[in-house]
Amino acid sequence: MQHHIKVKQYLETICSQIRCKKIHGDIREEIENHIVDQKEAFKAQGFNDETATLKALEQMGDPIIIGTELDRTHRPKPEWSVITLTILLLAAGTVIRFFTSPQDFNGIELFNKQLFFTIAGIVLMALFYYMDFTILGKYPKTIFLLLAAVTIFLTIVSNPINGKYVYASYLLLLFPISFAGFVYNMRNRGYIGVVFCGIFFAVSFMISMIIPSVSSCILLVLSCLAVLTIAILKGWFSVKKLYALLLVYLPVIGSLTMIFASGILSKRIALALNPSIDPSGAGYIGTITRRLLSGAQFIGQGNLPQNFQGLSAAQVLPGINSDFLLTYIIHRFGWLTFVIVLTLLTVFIVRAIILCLKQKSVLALLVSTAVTLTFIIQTILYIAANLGFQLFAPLSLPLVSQGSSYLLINMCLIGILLSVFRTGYFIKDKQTSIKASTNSFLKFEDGKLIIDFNIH
Amino acid sequence: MAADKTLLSGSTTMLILKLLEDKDMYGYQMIEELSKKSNDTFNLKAGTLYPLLHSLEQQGMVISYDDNVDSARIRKYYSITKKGRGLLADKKAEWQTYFTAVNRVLKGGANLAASY
Repeated sequence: MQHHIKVKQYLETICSQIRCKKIHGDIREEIENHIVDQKEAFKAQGFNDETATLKALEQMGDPIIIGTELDRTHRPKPEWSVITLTILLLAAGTVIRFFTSPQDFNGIELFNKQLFFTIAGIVLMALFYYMDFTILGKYPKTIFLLLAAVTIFLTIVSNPINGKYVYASYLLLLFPISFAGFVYNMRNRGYIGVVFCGIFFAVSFMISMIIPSVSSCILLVLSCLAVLTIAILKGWFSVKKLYALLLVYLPVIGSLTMIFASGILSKRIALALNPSIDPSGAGYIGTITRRLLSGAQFIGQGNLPQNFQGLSAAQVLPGINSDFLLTYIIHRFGWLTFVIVLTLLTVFIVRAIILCLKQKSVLALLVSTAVTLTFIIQTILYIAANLGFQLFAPLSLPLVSQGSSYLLINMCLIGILLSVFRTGYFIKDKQTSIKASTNSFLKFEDGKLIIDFNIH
Repeated sequence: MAADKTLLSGSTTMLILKLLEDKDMYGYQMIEELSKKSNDTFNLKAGTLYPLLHSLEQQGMVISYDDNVDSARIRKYYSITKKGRGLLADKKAEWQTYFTAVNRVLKGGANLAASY
């Protein structure tokens, strides 16, 4: 039996040189297969088992050298482009708020607070960066239950602000990644798997309705839908793609039709398109943002509308550092600032999408897509509201606008995204495919239960 | 076209890609095939092969998948990509240039002979 130990030792020596532990199993399996093949070949030449093994190992070469070479190939690479863009966005936000905060009520105090949370956010990002993101795929139910429990707990212990549980609403941004982990676990589960994903989504949706935050709902719906669609198109459920898509999209289209037919949205859409129909009521902010923008310059301070003479923009527009930072800086410093911020965000998003598409493992793909979409949807909602189209309230302009909780949550998400981009390449999706399962002791085929005693 | 400095290690890459051009293979199979096709001239060590295969995979020249075509064991098969075929064509051209140049020298090329 000693030669078996020799093979094991050989594999250990190779792996001891490879720092990225995630790839160990994969390499061990491949090299071991090779040794067995080589051994069989020597045995066929007439050598006994032990000699064949020793000769096979000799044939392989120095394990330290192989290990070192493989380590060089499989070194986790930090995604510097995304790290740099994150720092640039944080810096841009800080610089902008440095100039805008003094205009705001309590502004300087809030600026200092945000500065502290920026540093805390960087620490948090680093923490998630080094954490193994695959736990999202390993314990999806535990993570979801924990997240849901904390969210519901916050709605119980905190008081609603303007009819909304603000603290609980921040956590809704973490639901899409939890959904991604759940979808990952539904591999080869068939249509029932798709249905389970639907149930999981429905529970998340109901929690978002308790808060209630329409914008977070939209974010949840769109990102979960995208994650599920990608999984279906990747053949993750092992079902007919078209039927699975119909199973998902028919209820979605049905619900949307019902919402539109009920007329709840029609007044809101009319107001978003033309806020001046109610300029001092529900259309107030819409009217103000549009007027401020129409008087803005490309560079420099814009003009205030006629009826606001004698007031400053900070006095007529609420949330100049948080919800309407972009509108304010366009008015105060010109469209150029908007162009700069938008460029940074666009480059960040495009880079993230490119890297998402490069992911080989489905878990890495789904998680990075969920994070990227959370970013994209926040950005779109925010920009739309700031440009005077206020169908949905803005959540935050990621990393730029004031709001310590959103900042912390977004930094966690970026940490997870960077972790995916750093190590996602080495992740191997769980082998639960039909091909792999033919090696199992028990299998169920054509209505027969087969017990295979021939397994080693 | 100038020949690469890493011509020797480059030629191993070329040989591996050439093998994969015909069909998908696993590591051991590649070594066997190479040895057979070269009349035992090329005896590639596993220690050279796997780091090379893994880095080719990272560069997108080959992709890998698990399969158990003709054995009970699941093996990791490699398959050449479009990008890999492009690299193979480049390597072949590079090799041809080098090979022609060496041959010309060995045969005492016209200009070279005169200078002796």
